[in-house]
Amino acid sequence: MIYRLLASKVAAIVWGLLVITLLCLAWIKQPAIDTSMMSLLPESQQQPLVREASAQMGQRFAERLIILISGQDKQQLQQATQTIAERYQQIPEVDSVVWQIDDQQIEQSQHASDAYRYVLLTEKMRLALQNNTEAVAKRALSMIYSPMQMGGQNLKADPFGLSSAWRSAQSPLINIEMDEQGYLRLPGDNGFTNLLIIQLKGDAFSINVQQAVLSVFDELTTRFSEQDIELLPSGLLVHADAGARQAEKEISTIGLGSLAGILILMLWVFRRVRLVTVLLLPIVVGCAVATAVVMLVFERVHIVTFAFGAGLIGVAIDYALHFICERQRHQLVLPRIMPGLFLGLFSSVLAYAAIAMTPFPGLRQMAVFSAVGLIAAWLTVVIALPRLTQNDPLKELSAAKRLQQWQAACPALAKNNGFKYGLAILTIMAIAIIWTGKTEDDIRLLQTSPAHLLEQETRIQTRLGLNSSTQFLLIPCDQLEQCLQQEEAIRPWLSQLVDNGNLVQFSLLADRLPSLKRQESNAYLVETLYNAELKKLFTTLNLTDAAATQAMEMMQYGLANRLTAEQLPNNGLGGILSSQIIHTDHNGLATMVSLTASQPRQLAQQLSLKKHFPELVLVDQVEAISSLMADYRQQIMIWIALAYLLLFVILFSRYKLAAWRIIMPPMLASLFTLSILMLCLPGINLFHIMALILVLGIGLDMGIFLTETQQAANTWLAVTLSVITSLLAFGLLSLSQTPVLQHFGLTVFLGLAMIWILTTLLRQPSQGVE
Amino acid sequence: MKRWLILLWFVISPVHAELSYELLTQLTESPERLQGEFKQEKYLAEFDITLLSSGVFNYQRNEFIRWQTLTPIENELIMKPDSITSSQGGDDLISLKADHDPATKVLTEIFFAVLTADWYALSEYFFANGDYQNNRDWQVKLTPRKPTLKQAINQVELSGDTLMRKVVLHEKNGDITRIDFLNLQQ
Repeated sequence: MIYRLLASKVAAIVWGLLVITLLCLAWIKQPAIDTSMMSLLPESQQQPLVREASAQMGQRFAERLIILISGQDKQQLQQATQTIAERYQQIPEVDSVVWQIDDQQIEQSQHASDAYRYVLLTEKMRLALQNNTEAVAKRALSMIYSPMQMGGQNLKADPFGLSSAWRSAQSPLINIEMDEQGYLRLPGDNGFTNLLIIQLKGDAFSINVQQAVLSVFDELTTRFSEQDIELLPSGLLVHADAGARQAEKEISTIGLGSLAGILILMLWVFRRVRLVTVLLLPIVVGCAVATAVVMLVFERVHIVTFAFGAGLIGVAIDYALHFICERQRHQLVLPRIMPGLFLGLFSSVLAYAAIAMTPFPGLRQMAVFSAVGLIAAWLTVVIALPRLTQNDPLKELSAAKRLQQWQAACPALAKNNGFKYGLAILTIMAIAIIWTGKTEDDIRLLQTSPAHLLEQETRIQTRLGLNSSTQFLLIPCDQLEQCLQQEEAIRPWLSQLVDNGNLVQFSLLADRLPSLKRQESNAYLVETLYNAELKKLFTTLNLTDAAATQAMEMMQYGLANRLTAEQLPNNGLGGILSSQIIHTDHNGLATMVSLTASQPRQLAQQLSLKKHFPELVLVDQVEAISSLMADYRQQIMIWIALAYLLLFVILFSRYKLAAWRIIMPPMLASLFTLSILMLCLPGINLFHIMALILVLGIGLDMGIFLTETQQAANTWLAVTLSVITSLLAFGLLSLSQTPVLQHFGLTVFLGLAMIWILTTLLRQPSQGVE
Repeated sequence: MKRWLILLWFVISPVHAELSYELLTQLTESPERLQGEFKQEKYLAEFDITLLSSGVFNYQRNEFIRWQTLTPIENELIMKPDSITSSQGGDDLISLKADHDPATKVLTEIFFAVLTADWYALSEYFFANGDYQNNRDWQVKLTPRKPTLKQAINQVELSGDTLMRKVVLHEKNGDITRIDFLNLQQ
């Protein structure tokens, strides 16, 4: 009944329409390829506030593209900068472009703090005012007589030079200067380097945004290279694009390479073009449907998903090969192979479903991809293949015979005690190696971006004086004032850490925006200073009493002014500052203290926050993600062990003790592969372990099919072909430049090779001849 | 090397304004070390008064400038390419690090350049316009190139013969600082 239904025309038409609809829908949706390793990982289990802060930091980097424009001729360079800026302003994916700052803006930013000069005191000035107002007066006098006291200091408005002391203590946020026309440029350069800051509107991972922005970049680079003007980009977009391009290139090379290999192999084995076409149909449908569904379900497709795509070819072809090989022996195949085919699908989908339960968004996507792809390939096999091969004659496969002859020469060692013990010893050794083996979970080793791009990025960030440290302190509070007071409270402690050499530097918002409480106390100190020293100073300078009175009045008038967050400069470059404040909808407020540690790995220990300031949180994104990877590496190992257990239970119900024969090869192969990797590599990580899921998936089908057909020669041929195709795909993948893909490729390659060897050696010697 | 750099400067810059830098390089010496006395008149526009002071100075090119005011207050200013320290009777009153503070860096660079007649460095910051007589005496007016500098300085007038004899600094707020150099010894 079920076979008749599957074989009906209706089923074929419905299935065909469904596939076409899915593909059309996916075609309409714009693709976005994700190359970030972060998005593979689960949302951190850190506090929501920490998550928010990390996200805002990431956002800042993601939405900004900086272009450095270098050349020897200043005027030409300015023209080029202008042209580039105008070109970018026309692109809809670009929100704003900053490349020039006018006189007015400069004056504004320089004197923004002047109105608050009576309440903005540097730490040093506060100390001086608390201890000895006379020294401050002396300092003022020496400044007045100094030959180079510049900066438009007004003696009445600021006789003690408070404003210039404050201003000169403010370290610049970014290492940029302006030329005479206000163009942003990098200092300290042979020749000239102008700078352009682009704020993007779209997602940096979107291929459309990448193309829109970078095609213009390429066009401009070519255009200005004639004038010897060099353009250098910096920003997430560049890396996302490079990663996507590299992945695209590799996927197509690997895809085409393995497809070509499969074609040649199949043509050689089956010697009929039509048959090979039929064979490839389920793979093509499976991959296409899987890609379409993933594109429809998920916002972005991750490149690692494509690695599973390569794996999918290997698994999906199992069903087709199994069918075609059997079809050469029997007219009516489906009822014969259905149990094995179904169990193969069921066990694989179950394994992937288990993966989908894990909290990894990336894994979920891969699981959906694989499960959907397998189901689609399977359906194509059972619905379409019987129709397509309806009139094919039975034919003996010479390749099957040859394989069998070759195998006969190979010892079957299932009953050989020496082999058994040897295997047992090897297994124990493997477990011991894995138990004590090295792991390497540092996320930085998994950068998808090419090394030269990363180097360039670091160079640009350093030249811009941007803090590339991924560590920061988070100060949670209900109101900004509390955060600022807390910052002021931790300042001596941080300074001490700098003095000890534990910290290279830190940057506090409170150094630019003192708390109101601090401003209050500053006002008091300044008033004391004026009362004690102003008259004396003015008399020394032979200034009139009236002038002194005026200065006093100005002070009393201005003393009530308070600097608040709203008054901080927020345009262009100033925007960098406001990002030190983290606002969340539900989790309150926090300020971020960026830190540069001399030894980042020991910072947590050196800070000993728990002891000093338990309410602060040290956030280390790299460390957090790396330890998360370590965590999940261990968890996935347990998940895989559980999957084996579950599968054994399922298989046992049908095959009884023979289930061992199915489970053993992938299990041992996984153990051996892992131990070999641990011995040969600096360390294994999450992705090596994840690849073992594929080893399980492919290896299991092999065992099931062989057991189902009692190791018939044609089945042996089917599984061997399937292994070879997978080896081809993953072997090519292990040559990838993308570390994650490479890890996958290598692991699966080794695993499958060993499964095949083990299966051959562990076969039942009495069977396999028919 | 330096001459070559200056030549390069001419090649890549508009011709009319910079001519006098070449001339100045020819006219003036740039001694390794120099010492002498100074007289300073500082006009404060705000109060319409002039503050007089005097003292001694010495410098070692590219190393330091020691500027010692003797009357009416005693103060010592030591400028190095990367820092400024002002002290009085051994107490440090001001100490600024250039790498911390770009404004300090510009200030020290300019002051160094003025005192040591480093025309190449000055050409980075100022447009120059000047004339000379008797193949010896010259005057030059420097106007800032960069908007950041324009915030502070309107103009710098320099004059001298083989050595710098007079500096007049016009600040943006109307203050004028005149410095005369006397008894210069190399």
